Amino acid sequence: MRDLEDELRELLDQRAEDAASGSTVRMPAEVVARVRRRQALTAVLSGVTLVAIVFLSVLGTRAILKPEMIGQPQGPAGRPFTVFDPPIRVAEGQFRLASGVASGESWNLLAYREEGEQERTSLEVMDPSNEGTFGAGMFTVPEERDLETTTAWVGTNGNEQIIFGAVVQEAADVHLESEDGRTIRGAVISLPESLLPTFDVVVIQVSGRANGDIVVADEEGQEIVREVYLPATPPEPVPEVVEISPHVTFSPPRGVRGAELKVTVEGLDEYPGAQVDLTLATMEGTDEQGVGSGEYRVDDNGRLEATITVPGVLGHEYHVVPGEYRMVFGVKTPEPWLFEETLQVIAAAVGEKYAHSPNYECLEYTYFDGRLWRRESGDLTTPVPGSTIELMAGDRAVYMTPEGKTVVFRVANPAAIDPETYQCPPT
Amino acid sequence: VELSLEMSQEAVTQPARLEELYVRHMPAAIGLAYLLTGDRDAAEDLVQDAFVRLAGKFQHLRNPEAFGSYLRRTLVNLHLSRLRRIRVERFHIAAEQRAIEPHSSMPDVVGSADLWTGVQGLPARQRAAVILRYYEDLSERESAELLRCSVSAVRSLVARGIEALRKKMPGEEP
Repeated sequence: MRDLEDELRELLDQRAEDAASGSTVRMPAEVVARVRRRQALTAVLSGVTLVAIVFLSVLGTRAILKPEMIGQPQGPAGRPFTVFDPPIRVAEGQFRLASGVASGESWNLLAYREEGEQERTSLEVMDPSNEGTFGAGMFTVPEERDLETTTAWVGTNGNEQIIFGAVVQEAADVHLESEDGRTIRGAVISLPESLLPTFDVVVIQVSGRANGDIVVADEEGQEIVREVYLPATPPEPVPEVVEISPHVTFSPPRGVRGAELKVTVEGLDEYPGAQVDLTLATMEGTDEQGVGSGEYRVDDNGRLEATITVPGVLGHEYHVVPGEYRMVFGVKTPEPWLFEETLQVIAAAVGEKYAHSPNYECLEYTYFDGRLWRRESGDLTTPVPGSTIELMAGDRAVYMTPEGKTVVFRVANPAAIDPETYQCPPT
Repeated sequence: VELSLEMSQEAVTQPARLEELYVRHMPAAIGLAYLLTGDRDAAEDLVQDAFVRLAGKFQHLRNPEAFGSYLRRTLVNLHLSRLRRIRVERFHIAAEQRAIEPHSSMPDVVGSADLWTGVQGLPARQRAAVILRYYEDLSERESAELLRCSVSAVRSLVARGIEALRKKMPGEEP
């Protein structure tokens, strides 16, 4: 008989080869665009101006822009973006008004109707994938003012800004008269009737900081609004964070809610003296809580030791329940780096109910609150999505389905099963 | 599997070079990602995400010539990280994978269907450890670095994985 390990090697090679042979050989355009954006971010960190990236980003814009944009007329000379007249419907109730490139990154100005108590039309400057927003706003024109603008800094170096906002519908032209003598032309765009517009939209793209006046004129060239424009402070560059993988140990191995936890990190030899922030976050990253900021430093041997208290609440609202959390370690200087380790938090309280997904396909055993539990009673044999578990006493818990079926568990000897090889009994 | 990279850091900012980098590393990366995920679409997504992450900070890699190594590390970390985040759905996902597997378009290697099913049934970290050991031929220390655990933990993961596979194979003595 052939040796299992040889057979395994052959099988893995064959499977991997088959998978690779059936894969797409060329790099999808989407991947190029995503890499471009990543590279643009990274370039800021290094302080190196990558002319090639900017060049490619500009070129790439043609590939990134939607097909319906091709052939659209450009705006007047001196206006470095494209206006869509009429606006292009990109989704139900959502329209693209203008597009351009600033700081090497593409942007779209979108308009959409906000649902809810206060039904208004919102404007948003987004990247072409509509994944990230550079700036957004809801406006009160003409109820309170004739012109209302906000600023979106595009790109990571904050060199170019998009001034956008609402203006009364008599407007026909807009420009910025900067204090340094420049006249920067913008555009006035009418919203589609389906958005029930009460205002028109202004948009101006400006390089660098430009204090000055925003001037709006009507069809006859008469100035109807003049407002002082003071640009907001550009955002801090977002550094690309280097991911590293040192060795982390927790003592005790599981965090107990409200109790102290000793955290030891080894392998940070390249970062002696670095000041470390510790944050505990949900696995989904929706809520987080600082658990040590500015107190901990990497010693000369590349070792970090911290003693934290496992919080009971993350952020304002998230109550820590037994389960897995992300312990995130990060520093801002001398160079940004980041890594994380999963922390199991335990200490369920009697009477508290938690969402629970059993570990196996049957309900003979389950892990909860860092302990192994064995079924004591109950007819249900397989897990039901949406079920909960509640600690009734220190060693007894009740699993309950949304329909109210229950299984009672008791704490089991942790050596009763091997968690990785345990197989449910045949039904 | 390891591929050397004769490419300057500046060169990778050019689209042709980027494409070359992608094409050169794609087959090996897809192979590894497929073994980890058991699903070709998921494997392609995983490789693309890893590639984007890595190529995006290519100039900051300490050793750009070892792009293949970095890509492998990123693939494994990304895969395990995703699994951690969806662990609550693990049971249901596993059930779906088992349901889908018989209809897979991948051809079966004669006589190894049971073994492949066994590999796919291993817990994620066990499977990763087995794949790094028997497909990537990494040492225990290298695997430990990739999996962010101790050498003894890797040894245990591989041993348990092989043990589980033996139990699944007809005629194999545990």
